[in-house]
Amino acid sequence: MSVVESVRDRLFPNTPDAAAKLWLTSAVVWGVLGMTFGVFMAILFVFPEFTKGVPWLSFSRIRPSHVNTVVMSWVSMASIGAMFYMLPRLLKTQLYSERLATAVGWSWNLFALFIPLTLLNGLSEGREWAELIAPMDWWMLINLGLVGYLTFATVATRKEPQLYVSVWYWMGSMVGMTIVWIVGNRTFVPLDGLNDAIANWFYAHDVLGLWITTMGLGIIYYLLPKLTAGKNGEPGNPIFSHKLSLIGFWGNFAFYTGIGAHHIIQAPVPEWLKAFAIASSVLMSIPVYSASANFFLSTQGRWENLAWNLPLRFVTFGWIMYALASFQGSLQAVRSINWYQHFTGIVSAHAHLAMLGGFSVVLFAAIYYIIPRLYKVEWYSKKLVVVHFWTFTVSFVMFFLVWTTMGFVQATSWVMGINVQQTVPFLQPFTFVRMIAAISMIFSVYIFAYNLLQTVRSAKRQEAASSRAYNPSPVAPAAADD
Amino acid sequence: MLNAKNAIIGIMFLLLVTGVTSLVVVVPAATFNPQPSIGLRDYSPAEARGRLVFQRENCYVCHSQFVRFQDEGMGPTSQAGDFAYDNVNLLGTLRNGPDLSFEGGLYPDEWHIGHLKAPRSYLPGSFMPSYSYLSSSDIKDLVAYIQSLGTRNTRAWDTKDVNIPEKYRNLESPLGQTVANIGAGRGIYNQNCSACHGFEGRADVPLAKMFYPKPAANFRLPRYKDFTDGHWFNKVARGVPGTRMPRWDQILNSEQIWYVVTYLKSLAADQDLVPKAGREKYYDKSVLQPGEIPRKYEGAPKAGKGH
Repeated sequence: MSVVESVRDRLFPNTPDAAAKLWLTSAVVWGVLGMTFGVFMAILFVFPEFTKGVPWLSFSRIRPSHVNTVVMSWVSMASIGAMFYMLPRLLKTQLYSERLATAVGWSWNLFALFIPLTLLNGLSEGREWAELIAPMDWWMLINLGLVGYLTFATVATRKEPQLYVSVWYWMGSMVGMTIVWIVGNRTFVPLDGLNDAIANWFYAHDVLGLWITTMGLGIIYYLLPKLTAGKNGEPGNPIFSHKLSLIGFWGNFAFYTGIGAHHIIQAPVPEWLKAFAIASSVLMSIPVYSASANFFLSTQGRWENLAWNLPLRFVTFGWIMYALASFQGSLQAVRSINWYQHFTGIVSAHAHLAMLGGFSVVLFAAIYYIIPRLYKVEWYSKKLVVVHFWTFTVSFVMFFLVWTTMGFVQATSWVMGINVQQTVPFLQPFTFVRMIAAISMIFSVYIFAYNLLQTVRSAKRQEAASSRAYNPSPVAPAAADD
Repeated sequence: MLNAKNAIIGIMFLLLVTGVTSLVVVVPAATFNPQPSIGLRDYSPAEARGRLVFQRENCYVCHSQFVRFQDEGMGPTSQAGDFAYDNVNLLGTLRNGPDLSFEGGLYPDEWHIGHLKAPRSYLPGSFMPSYSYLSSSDIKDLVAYIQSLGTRNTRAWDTKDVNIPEKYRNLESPLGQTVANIGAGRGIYNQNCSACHGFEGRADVPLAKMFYPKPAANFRLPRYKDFTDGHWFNKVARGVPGTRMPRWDQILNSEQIWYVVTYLKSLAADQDLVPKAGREKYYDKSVLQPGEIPRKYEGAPKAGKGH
């Protein structure tokens, strides 16, 4: 084996599940970084002079780094990693090309590194959520295209004719996210004034709607039947209703696509667009409740698993938070409620309910489920998983409630005619409690990352012990189409 | 395994997603092209550079840039034409700090420079980050941009209200700011206006709190000094559409309205402890000195008919 080949096999291994390992473990690194940015901002609210005079630790530069790292690095990479694990198992085949998947993984990792590097150094386009500069936009588009290609090629070479609902969701996400990314970051089509805002909020909400939500729902649909398996090997519950899950799928893509303008209901954009966005937001109840009902009914009869099955605990917490966030989101889009709560912390808390309490927790569950199966070892410490669960969930609930209360304080003060500057002192107790909750939450995430690190290390030790001369056997080329 | 059924489903899916996307992004971009608001001008080079600094520092994460109809004291409600010269939108979605749509002109440049460098020295308890790391030219451009917000727009403040009809715009009061005229105006005001605007224009009566939209705030605020005679007359005579403020030209004759205007002008002017240069027009110096307005009823006002 030549040097080039050995380097190639080391960096871009062609062994089964090599891609899933790379994507999931690196996602956790970015998750830790992105959430640390968030906690840092929570601290800056209480001690604003903390980083005075340091440009790249200024609050306003950390905030886009936080958003983009969490969305594009942590949640996206973990979702794709989980998909790369689940897709071959659902389709009874191999990933179309492990080598390409690991190569895209490294490319995405480098991209994830450049997110804070560019944003913290003041390279920002100045569009909320879509701050990344043009070269980054193109780079991401290539990454997305390659992941989409891998997904569709794997589906095309499948051995299992029946497509499970998760696969539907993931294929839809690939198409949806590509469209959303092109429209949201339109590098060569500058729009002016309010049209830019319309495209901007289409992007900001649909990166959640057509990417994170749909990827995450696919993962939940995969995990629930597995995690409801009995302790003594009884088979898990099948999905309660395939029809409900398809209603959820089509509803999600039909209604989620058009809701972006509900962020600018009271800005002077065309009224028909606002009406369409509000109607779509309310109609989102259909896919959300059909999915939630499906999840609930699929777990029926196996609730006792929550007592011992830790990934099930996470995934149940996650989808309940998702359902609550969506319920809240439909309400918030209604004019009479939006009138009151827009511009306040309620909106930011709502975003965290979906992203942090919802899909991040689902991805924790996916990682807790997948890692032992990938590395063929048990978790380093089950106790730490329990600590992670309770610390995270309790401090998240505190975090969310405090931030929402803070939003209500803002909303009521403004309605009473108190101006924004005068309300800031009222918020200070809340920002303090929010900081405590955020620190305790990041502490639990560090525990999770430590646990993962120790698990992977023990797997490596075991591997080294079992075969001194470990030689990855190359995978047989993907079978020809049947 | 690309059979006809899968292909049809795939095409349906693509049509659905691209169709809705076009409806909510492409159709507005093609059909929604608001004309610039009356009097709006483009950014000057310094302001445009300042706007880039604003984008680079991501100030929009805490400062929104549009005023809703219910936002009191932030300036007039934003209209589509106000954003005609923006190439990147900075509407924002969170108000951790105040809305900046009409921030221009509220504070002097020196205040902004100092506040950007040391926010808490100017507004204790603020959690705005310090921008002491910006170069002085960046700060200068940024302040130029902040000062341009709203002031590029003649709709910005009531004093520049372009909705005043031509016939009222350049009116001059026929009455001098004499003690007798002010007293006469006060009589008419107390009978007709005080129910909503309060005595002495303080807006401290129950109706002032109950109405929505609220009656004009305290007439003693210094900003009312900038109202021209024509502007005052227009507001009183034509009322304020959409509020309970009636058209007083249906109830009072124009002489009575001018008495009321004389009284209202004296309320804000009265707040000058040290009279400023250029405010002399409010006083007929031969009769009255600043700070010497008697509070006693004098003269013989023509009372309004009431209502």
